[in-house]
Amino acid sequence: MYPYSILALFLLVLGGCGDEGKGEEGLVREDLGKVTTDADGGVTLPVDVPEDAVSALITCGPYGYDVLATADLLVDPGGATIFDDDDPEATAMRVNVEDDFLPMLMPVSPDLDVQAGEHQLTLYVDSDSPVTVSCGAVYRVQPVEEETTVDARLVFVGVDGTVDTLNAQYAKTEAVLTAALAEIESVWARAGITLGEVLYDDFSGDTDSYTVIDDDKEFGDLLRTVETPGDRRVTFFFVQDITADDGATILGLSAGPPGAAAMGGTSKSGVVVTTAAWDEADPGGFLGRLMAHEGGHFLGLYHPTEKDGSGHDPLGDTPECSDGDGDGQVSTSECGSNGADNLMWWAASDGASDMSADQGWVMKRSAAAH
Amino acid sequence: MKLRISAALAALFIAFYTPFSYADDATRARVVEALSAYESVPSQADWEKMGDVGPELLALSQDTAGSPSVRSRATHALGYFPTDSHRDWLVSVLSDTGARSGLRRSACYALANGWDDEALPLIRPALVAEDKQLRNAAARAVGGIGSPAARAVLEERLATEADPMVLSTLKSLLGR
Repeated sequence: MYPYSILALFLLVLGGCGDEGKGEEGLVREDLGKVTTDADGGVTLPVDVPEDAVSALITCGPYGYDVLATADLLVDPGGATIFDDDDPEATAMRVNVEDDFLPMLMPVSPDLDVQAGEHQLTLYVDSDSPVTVSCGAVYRVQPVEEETTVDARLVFVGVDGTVDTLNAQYAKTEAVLTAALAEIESVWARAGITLGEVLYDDFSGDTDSYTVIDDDKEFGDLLRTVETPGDRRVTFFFVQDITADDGATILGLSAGPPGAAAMGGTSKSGVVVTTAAWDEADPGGFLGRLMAHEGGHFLGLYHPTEKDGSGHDPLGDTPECSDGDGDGQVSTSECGSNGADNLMWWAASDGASDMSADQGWVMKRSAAAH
Repeated sequence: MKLRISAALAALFIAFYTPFSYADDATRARVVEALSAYESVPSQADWEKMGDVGPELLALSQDTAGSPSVRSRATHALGYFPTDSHRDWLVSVLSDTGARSGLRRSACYALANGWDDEALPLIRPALVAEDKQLRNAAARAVGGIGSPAARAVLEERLATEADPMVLSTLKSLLGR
């Protein structure tokens, strides 16, 4: 099997050559095999990051929507702990707790760049019984350019006629959406990111079931429809609504962070935005910032400060803000230019569109960027 | 004489009536921000911590020129401040066939969250609405009430619902 594996890897690296880095060129995919958790829910596996990798997206799953998983521990080739779930903000690495499929991205901050060599990842799956999952990695070996492009695909899921004529054919000239794409370009440009090719598709699956996303399974199953193998772009699904448990509207959700960039067929393969954010009175501004924000999560960005002040992103140049008045929420008025003016601030506001150099640094290393 | 009194009352009404009003800018800003999170929404406990912001939520819900997403979320949050005037407003939103489907769905959930079994006759028309996504939301809202009376409403709808998606929701809510 070994020579065939080498050949397959060689072909994967070669595939797409001459396509300006848009396809498989610049990516190396590795099957890390199946692992089974022990009685305590843990299992350790080696992850050997190639010499020329600028980022490593490690994934494990699927394990279903009723089960959560995270990294318990991640140790670098030199033996240093770069992530410990007991103290998740001790280093500039982050790993989320996720249902069904767990993406882990290195690096998520210039303060802790990815290292070549064998890492030891201890995965923790919160289940009463042993769970077997498939793990893999997507290494981006394409060098990072000063100007980086992120392509997008917009998929319309049962939204035609709800706020406007909104389908693959007419969306290209629809005023609010056109303005939203211009807003994304404008905001991401501050991080050195160019919005590249945009594809438009009508959803071809069970539209009725996904027009309103009512739970995590519907969300994940919709993202799973991103084709395999996923190409190097961010897929935005437009739906009418995402509802919380009590029926309230959630405006948008990204897989992760990070999303399963350049991977199709997983419950973390894209972003969902709702037409609840469709505002003719603010053509494109609000919708564009929502898309840019969720796209930022997909590419590896976190909120500079979480809504309740409990956590911060791992970046050195995004301000941290604290809950000064102790009301359990870090508000825009409390944080003003101390994070609330950043695109990745937890709440939408007119001024929240700044981006930092470190945010651009992370986005440019995503496997979805080229 | 009657005419003069009517004219005087009308003048007073016009002089003092405003379709909606905000208590103060700071409270309004606080409420709007709570309604503007990208990926989360305030829970009932979060709203209770903010005090009686029902009037601000009603004003935002009635503000047809405001942000559609803030309006939809404010409409939903009225369910956590169950007053008669809020209920009447929610019923009017739910019955407005010209309103965005999402706004009507928010009203539906708000009624269920705020009035439990009392909301059942108010939501019932949505269970037979032409818009299947509204019917589906109505079924979920009724299912969320969780009472025997709510279950009976779902059973009744199950017998006549024809759309596969809504049928699937009804069956799931009834544990079938």
